[in-house]
Amino acid sequence: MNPFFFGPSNEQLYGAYYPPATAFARDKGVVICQPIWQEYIRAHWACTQLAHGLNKQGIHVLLFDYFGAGDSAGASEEGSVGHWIEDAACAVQELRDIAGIKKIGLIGIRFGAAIACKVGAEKKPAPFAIGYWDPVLAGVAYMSDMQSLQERLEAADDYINFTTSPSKALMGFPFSEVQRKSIATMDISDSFSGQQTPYFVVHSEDTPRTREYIDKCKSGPFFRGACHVPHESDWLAIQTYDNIIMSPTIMDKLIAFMAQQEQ
Amino acid sequence: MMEKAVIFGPEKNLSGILTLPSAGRPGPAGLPGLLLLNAGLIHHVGPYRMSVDLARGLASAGFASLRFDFSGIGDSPMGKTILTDRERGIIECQAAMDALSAGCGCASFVLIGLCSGADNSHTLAASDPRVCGMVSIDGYAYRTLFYYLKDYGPALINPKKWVTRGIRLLKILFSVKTAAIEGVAAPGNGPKTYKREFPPQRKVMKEIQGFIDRGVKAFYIYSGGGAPECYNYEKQFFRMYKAISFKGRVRHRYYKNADHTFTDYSLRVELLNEIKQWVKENFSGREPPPSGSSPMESEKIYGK
Repeated sequence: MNPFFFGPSNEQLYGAYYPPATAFARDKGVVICQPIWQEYIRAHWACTQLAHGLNKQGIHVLLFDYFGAGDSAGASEEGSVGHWIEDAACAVQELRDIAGIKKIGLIGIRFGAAIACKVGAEKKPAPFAIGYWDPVLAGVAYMSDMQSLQERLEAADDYINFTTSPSKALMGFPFSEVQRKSIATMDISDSFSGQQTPYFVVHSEDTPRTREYIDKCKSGPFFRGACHVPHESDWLAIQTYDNIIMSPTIMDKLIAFMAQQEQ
Repeated sequence: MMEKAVIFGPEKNLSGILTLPSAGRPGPAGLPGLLLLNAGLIHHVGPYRMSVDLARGLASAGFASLRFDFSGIGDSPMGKTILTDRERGIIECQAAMDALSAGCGCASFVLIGLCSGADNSHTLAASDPRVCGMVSIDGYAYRTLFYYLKDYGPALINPKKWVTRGIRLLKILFSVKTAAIEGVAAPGNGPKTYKREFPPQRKVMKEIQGFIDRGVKAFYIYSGGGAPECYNYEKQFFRMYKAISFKGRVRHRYYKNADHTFTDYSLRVELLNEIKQWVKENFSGREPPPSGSSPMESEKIYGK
């Protein structure tokens, strides 16, 4: 793994490039779009394991942090969805340059899935495939889920008292009004059927909301399947709100999908 | 401020971010470097990005720092050498000190750690003379008589609590002394499991006395939710360590309303400001330690 900073000099992004072993290297790569806020912290280990798994399939991987997240420049409250989409596009170009390859796919986790979806739809050249892991479809619902998780956690834990207004911070992460609005207006629930890139969805919950978007996915020509893997990534449970996410089955499904796509 | 991604360590498998106060130049001479250690299995950005905020905040006061991942955590893969957690902690922290020293020229170090990071800070402070300071958040804790009175007292006047407290007391009596588990066993190729066990109190007290006598300054912070099964009141720190002569070098703070990782943003800002203030007050303009810069032989695990 090679860690480095890339992007504009005043807004450097942190990236970790995972090259495959030379003997097995293929001419394609994957950029992983991580979740945001507390889910980013929880999913980081899974992202590194995804990178190693993809490497074993000969795929180059770039794991990066959005502006205002992880080790990238900026304070937590400074990023916005528009900025993060540009960051992901910048990461795609960076992986092309450092690996010397043209075919880049995306894996998006939670809110990172929404970002990957937007990059896939808006940026050229299009990715060869996108893998979605528990995609967040609508920012409004995501904010609402985070607020609900926070309220349930506060009620259940004697030592967690959220004194900061939920309009300024959720689950420990502060945000600006610009960031809040950008998240609240993000909605990809109608974007699936129109996608022009092969895609695959892995979901850990099986709710009416999930079934509805999987049905929408099925109507699109580029839908390559969906897989329900229960109990592996409980994003909204108060008992595990700060646990590291470990989802071997989900990771295996995503790795196999990206390895098979040859567009 | 400038940040640089670095790979270091005897096996070149440790990954971290070096934060320098000004681009391309080391910090003011004499200032110690700061090492920010992993909290459990959370990678080097820290809970809620706490380590990033601390590193950048203290860079503006002239301090260089390195936040890094121990092998098997975050961006650092497992090493090939088989070592105990204690040996690995010492070797990898010493490698981080060497890397920070190479990056900014500092000869002494302040360690900052939460939970397992606090445990590793203690071990290093006790074993490496280059350590001149330590911020320990929810480090080792030992029950005192008043702990039990505070914990079980309310149950005595409330019969509804007798059963639950009774069960808890039985569990404590029949459990391994003050052990806490952090992280869970992972299926398949999961992350390394971290089991937190507190060493005997007498050993810890002896080690603290040792590094205090050497001149190390320490800031001990405990949260209400950090380990309520063994720490539950403001003055417990000075009571559980009452035999230690702190010589005015130790500060203590109890955040009664905070959970272990300071999830509430306002409380976390208060915590980080307090740490930054303590570091600035105690180490700005500090001279390098006179005791040399190599580890003591007894704890020197690999040749340097």
